[in-house]
Amino acid sequence: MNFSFFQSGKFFLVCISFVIASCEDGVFKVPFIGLNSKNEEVTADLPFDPQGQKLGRMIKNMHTSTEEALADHKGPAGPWTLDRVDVGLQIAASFKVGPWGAKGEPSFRLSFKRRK
Amino acid sequence: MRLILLSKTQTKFLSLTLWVMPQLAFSTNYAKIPADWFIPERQEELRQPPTHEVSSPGFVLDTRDTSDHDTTSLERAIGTVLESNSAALDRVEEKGKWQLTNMRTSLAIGSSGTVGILMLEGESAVHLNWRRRPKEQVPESTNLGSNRTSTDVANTTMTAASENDTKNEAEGEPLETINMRAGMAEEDILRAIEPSVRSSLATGRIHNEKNFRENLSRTAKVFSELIQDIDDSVYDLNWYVSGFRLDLIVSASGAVLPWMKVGGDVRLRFIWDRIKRIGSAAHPVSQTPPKSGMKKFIYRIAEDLSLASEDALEGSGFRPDFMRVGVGFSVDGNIYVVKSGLEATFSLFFTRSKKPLKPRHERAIDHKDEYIELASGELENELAYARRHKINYEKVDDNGRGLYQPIHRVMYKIKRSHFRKGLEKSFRIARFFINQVNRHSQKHWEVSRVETICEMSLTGIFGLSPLTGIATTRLDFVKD
Repeated sequence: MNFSFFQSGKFFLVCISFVIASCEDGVFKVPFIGLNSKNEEVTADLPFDPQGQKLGRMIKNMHTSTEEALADHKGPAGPWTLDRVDVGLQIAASFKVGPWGAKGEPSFRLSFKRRK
Repeated sequence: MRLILLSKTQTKFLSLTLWVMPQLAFSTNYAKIPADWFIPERQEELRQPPTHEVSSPGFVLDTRDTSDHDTTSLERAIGTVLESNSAALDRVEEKGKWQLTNMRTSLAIGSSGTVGILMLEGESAVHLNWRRRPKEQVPESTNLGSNRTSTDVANTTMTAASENDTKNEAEGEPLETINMRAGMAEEDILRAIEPSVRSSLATGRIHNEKNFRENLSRTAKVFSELIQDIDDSVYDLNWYVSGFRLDLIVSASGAVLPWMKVGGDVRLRFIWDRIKRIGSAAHPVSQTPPKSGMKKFIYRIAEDLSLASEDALEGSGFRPDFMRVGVGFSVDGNIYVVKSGLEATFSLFFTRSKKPLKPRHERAIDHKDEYIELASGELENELAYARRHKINYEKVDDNGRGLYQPIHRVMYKIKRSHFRKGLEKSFRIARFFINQVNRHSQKHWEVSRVETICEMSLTGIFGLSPLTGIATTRLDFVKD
């Protein structure tokens, strides 16, 4: 890198490109946002995946887990059968997706119905 | 090594560039909601007071049309969520005995207006409910072919039916739900609560069984008494009460307390759903407005919902489905909207009938001297706001029909005309989200329900609930 690099304005262009790249091709970032245990607002600056790859994998895993968990389920005797299962998913403090606990609301909620 | 010599101007330019560029590069580009989508009290906190005032003595009533604001970044952000969710759902393979039929995405709003996906704790502001599209509506080019089965249409019907349950399942999950009906005798009430009592005791988190049984049966009796009035409240309006709910938590000592979103206590829910067909011989429609008590409150809310214009939703393909209002009851039978988490929260569900609205000019009824009361805790910032804007209020102590220890609350009087304008504003906010849903193509899945969770201002205006907000109302809109 030498004087002519700065002087020619190439450095400026590099910086401008960097700024444009950070805007992800015009798609606005959508953060994960919530309150922590101290009731403080926290924002997870995670790059959202516009192609839905991460969320798709998560749903697929949850689908498989639900199938496995229900495979051995024995419903109550009589005319009642288990027909619908709702699963809450929550972004945890470690910013990993996991099953929803009793606190707050799930980030995503999936409903599964038994096939007829 | 060659020294780089820069002129004074070049040095200034380089310094500026080196300082500014990282700021720009690493600054967040989060989308924010327009400030006036919050209630006026929060707008003051944001130091962004509304600029447009509607003539009204006492306080600023901001009912601006949200289309006046630049919402480009917000549109892009919601579009990102919709496209990401749609793409993720399209990746789901259909196989096995169980089928994914619905997904709900919870959006939250930070105190500065930043919109994001809800994580950890806090109040959500908007729910987007996805359902599988009927096969015949899936565009040819995107048909998955062999992956889809002939049961798709039937399953979609089932999904639509299951959406009717959404009013009772959105906000938190109870351990046990107790279904109640009008006119239950004492032994019927005890029989109804017994399975829930046993389940709750089985958790091992309740140590005083006697206390718990007494408190729960007393609460059940109060709930049952209230149902009777609600069941009879059927009027010739476009909205009617279709459900009633009470959410509670039980402490280790067996005390029955208001539902709170945090904590792992035992959670119980009393539910009443209207099952009789309105207008039938067993359920006649009353033509006369009631004069007092719960029936009067129900009539006023249903009438204001019927009078509020739904013009904002015209041509959107969505219609209002129901509104949940958090309410409380005083010992003298008074009923009011509850703003705080101080007391046991009852919920009234107002459902929109399919009857078309009357023309707007026929709906312009002036209720100058009529109010709806809003109860809140004794919060200094709210009292100061009310004093500044000359909002009438009074402080009361009450034990809410014996459901809890006497509590201090402040009752704010809200003009019905302001409440109605607030409803119209909330329809316009919902329209924004519905527009985004309509704008972004969805293949095998579609957003069929948009839920907006709102705070109610002391002025009567609704605003989207931020993370730290306490939702008083929820408005649900469904795809036609």
